[in-house]
Amino acid sequence: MRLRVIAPGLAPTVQDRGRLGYEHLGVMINGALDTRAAAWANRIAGNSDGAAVLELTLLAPALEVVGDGDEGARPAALAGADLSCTLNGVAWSPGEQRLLRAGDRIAGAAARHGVRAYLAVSGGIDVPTVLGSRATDLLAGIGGLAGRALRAGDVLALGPPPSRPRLGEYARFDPPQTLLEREVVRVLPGHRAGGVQSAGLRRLVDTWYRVDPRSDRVGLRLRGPRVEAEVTGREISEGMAIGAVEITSSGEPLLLLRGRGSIGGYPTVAVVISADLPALAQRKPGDRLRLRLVDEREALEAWRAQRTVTLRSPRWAVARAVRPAGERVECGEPLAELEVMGERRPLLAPIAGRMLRASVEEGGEVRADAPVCAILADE
Amino acid sequence: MRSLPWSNTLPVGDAAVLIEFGQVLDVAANARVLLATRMAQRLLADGALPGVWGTIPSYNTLLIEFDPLATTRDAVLAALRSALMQGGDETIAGRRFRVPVWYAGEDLPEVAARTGLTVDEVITLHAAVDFRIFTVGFAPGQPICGMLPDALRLPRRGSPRVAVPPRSVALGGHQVTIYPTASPGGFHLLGRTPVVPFNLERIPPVLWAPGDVLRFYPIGREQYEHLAAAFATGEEMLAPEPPGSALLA
Repeated sequence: MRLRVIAPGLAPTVQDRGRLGYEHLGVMINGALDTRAAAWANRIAGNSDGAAVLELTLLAPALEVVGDGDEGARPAALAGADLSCTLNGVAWSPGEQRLLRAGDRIAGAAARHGVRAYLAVSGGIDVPTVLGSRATDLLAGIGGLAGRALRAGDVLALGPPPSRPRLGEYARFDPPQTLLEREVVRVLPGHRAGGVQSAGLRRLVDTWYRVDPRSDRVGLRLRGPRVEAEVTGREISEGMAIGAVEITSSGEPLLLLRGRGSIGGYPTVAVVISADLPALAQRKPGDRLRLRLVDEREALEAWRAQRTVTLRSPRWAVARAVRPAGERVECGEPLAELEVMGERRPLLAPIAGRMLRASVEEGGEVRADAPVCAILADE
Repeated sequence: MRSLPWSNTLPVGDAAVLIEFGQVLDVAANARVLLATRMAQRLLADGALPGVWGTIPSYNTLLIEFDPLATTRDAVLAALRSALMQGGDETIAGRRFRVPVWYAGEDLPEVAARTGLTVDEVITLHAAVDFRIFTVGFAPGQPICGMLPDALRLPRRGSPRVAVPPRSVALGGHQVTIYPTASPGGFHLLGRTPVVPFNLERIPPVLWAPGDVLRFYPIGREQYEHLAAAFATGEEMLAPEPPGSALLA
């Protein structure tokens, strides 16, 4: 099965978790800007979190599913922004799984909420890996499909569907809280702010800005009151963190996203916390945005909460052999055994990560939809 | 016991730390950055920096990016510090590349006019200096080099170009660079080199590394085109000078 682009919409790209480990050579990370939504789409489609997806921006493409013979249907899912997508003319909302068959047509209309939607298909988008990743780097022209955004006529191959162990069942898990309409984003003080009490930082936070239309995958530019950086004229360029809030020489705040270049020379006055980076990717030009200062403890708690996935039992059963906290689990591995009417069936992990806690004791009862355990998902 | 192997460490958000090696831009500080980067890469390869996913060296700083739920800033710094204490005397032998340039860049006449030199004098000065690669960044394989002789220093262009010609050789402030691809750029364009800084078909894909030295020399258009064709197909590849030939540390 393959996907053919009929009309590209607004520059869709193939993305995954990004090209990690080559920043010291000037190779940028990229990857899905809303990492959470991309992971969510993959989980619903039955992929591991790192499978390649399509990142759709504001205007969804029109796609046709092309069959390759007698192959059956493939699960697919959308997550993130609501771009009014349809499958064969029937509404397809974010968070929903659909089965794709040869001849199916995917289309979109106006963006209802958010900016970036992710389309995951079982098996993932199969483009060649470049330095360990399928992510498109538009600036360097590498990764994805020929290092560029998709065009009409492009055909995307799909990887082999993940093989699922038989006689097991997958734990249910809660959908993530939506981040599409978050207007307040939390920041930590930046290392070039000149201190927490600096005039520049105080001017930046708790002020309403609007997202400038010149924003892109590199970063969000904010329109509003200008900020004077306390540390001006810092000319020695340094590595820029994802989420860094730089103040340009004209006093304009620039928030760096995952498509950023690795080095920059503007002072970093604040840094968006890891947990709020996905929300940034969903702010569109004209949207309001305000930065709120928090401490590192709150930042880490929010990050932990966001990465924690609570797994629930598909039915009322007796839990056995629940994996202990701290153990590493891979996607598809048993987390516990559920005993119903004398039959034991393994409960399988839908994601990879580390066991955070067991919510039920050995031999304890667990009702349908009650938590069995929680996993800290891999980043 | 020796003092700390760096001058300062600064938290950057909840998932990174910036290590400063001195406050000024000089070769000694940069050499310490590069050594720390090499140590970090070695630790990563040995699995001794769990949770770390990125290292970005620059002139006098090293940014380390990590997952704060898999490690802590203190643990990362402690591991790197002990590696540097044990192996911190290692030196990085820079290589020297002789880089041909067809000096016909769009800004060459303007650079000459603004520096009060003739075009030939600009070329002679630019080709008479060994430039150290302080870091590789902005774009894959892009060398960021210094230090430009005072006579050639100009502030960057007021508004950056949306796209410079690929393999442009350019200057700005105290820096010299080669833009590997048609990227945005605010530097003044002196000319183009046929040399390909980044090629995925090559191992390693980046031709040079921080700490290496570039020495430019002028070529004519015909030679440029001949070499550009050879480098593009990978038929020819720029090799560093053999060690010992007037190498600059």
